[in-house]
Amino acid sequence: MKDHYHKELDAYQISVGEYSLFALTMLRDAFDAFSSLDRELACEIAGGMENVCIQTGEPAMHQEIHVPRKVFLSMRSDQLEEQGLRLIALHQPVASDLRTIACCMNLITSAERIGRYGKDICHCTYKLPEGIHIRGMARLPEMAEGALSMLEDALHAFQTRDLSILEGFSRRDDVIDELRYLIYEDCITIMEEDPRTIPYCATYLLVDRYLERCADHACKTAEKIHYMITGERVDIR
Amino acid sequence: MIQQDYALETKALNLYYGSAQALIDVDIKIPKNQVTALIGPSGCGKSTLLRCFNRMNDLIPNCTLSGSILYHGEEITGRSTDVVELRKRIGMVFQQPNPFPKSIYENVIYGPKVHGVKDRKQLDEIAERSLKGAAILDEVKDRIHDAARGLSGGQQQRLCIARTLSVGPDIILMDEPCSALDPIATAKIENLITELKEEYTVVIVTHNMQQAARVSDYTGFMYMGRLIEFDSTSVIFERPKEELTENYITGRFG
Repeated sequence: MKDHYHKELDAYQISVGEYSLFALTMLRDAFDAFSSLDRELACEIAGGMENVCIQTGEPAMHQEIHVPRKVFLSMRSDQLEEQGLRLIALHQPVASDLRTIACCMNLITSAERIGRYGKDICHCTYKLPEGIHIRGMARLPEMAEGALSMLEDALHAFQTRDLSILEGFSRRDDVIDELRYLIYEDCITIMEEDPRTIPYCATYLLVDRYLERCADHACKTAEKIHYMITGERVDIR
Repeated sequence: MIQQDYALETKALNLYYGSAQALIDVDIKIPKNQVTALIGPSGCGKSTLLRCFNRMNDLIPNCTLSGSILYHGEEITGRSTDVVELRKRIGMVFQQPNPFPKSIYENVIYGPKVHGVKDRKQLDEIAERSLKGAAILDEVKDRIHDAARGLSGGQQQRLCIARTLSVGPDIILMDEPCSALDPIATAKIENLITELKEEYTVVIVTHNMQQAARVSDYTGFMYMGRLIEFDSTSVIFERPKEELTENYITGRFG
């Protein structure tokens, strides 16, 4: 039979996993909203454009979803941090228990940052004129898929404690970094050719940067998960 | 581990109480001027090991041992070892504060007097130095001739530490020194332990793992007479190598 403390610790890990998934989904949806220039979805995630959105959609529905996801994101991050601190204060965890809580705390911070990048991507959506993207959004969809799959795998490794999932993270991060510079170069060229593309390419460069940061968080998280499970430090990137 | 001086060392130490084996092949090196904690469940042999270091087990009938115990490289298990001298060099503090039914001053100078110091001025100096060393001088200097039993539990325990210091040891063994004390008195003893390592080597047996983690530099985990794992305290409490250690310190035992 498990004691209360270890039950609480198990439940805490589940909550942190759920929160990471929430942030990850927020980023995924934000990128989808950006790809389809769906301001309504962006507004549901990031808020801030309610006036514009409510005019175009059905007002009743929007009143129901009036609290954007970013509010929950920051509220929940504080709650989970406090839960972790409470576990430390009340039980003085050691060894793998301590490493687990430390890892959870890192995951919370990373998840919150990732969700915030989702919010930032939504803000980019607001900046673009409604309509369609240019040049297939440079190679951003490919980059988003790469970053999101790294985040998913990191979360999966955390939940299953299966380190093999983290193999190849360095290489995958290199791919993201390469894409980042390719997209940068492409955008410069496109903007030079036709100044009317500037509003698009400028946001692409922002999203480019956000996605690169997200992949970096995935690597950092992978390092923390590795330490949680083995007690050994590794350098991933 | 870095090459360093060891105050105490055991090699293949086996100890029996009659036919029951209490220590099994214990090899441990206690680094000099460091605090070493021994942890483990009741009956694991940690107190027995501690008591080996100043031959306290000699007093127990049917207690036999094999292997060697070195004090600064010198064998101390043999008959030729002067046990009185050894206990002067390796002092001990117990769980229950046990001051003599005498004044504070008499308690502290009792040891030096037994060892033949007669000069009053010298005894005064020893008393002051020992009480200061045990961080209790300020609290008792105005009532040094009052009864020691009138002190609080925490003060009595520090008085016992002062009494240990008075005969000039270089190693202090502590067997659950804070178990009978409240948290504030415990904190004072813990602070004192950290200060003591400037001049002394400290070995402490404790049930309180947080205490071991706070005060010690090295920690040994014992289980059923064996030393399972010995490493720096940060390794033991953050990333122990042995599963038994992990299970014990995280409370997943049994």
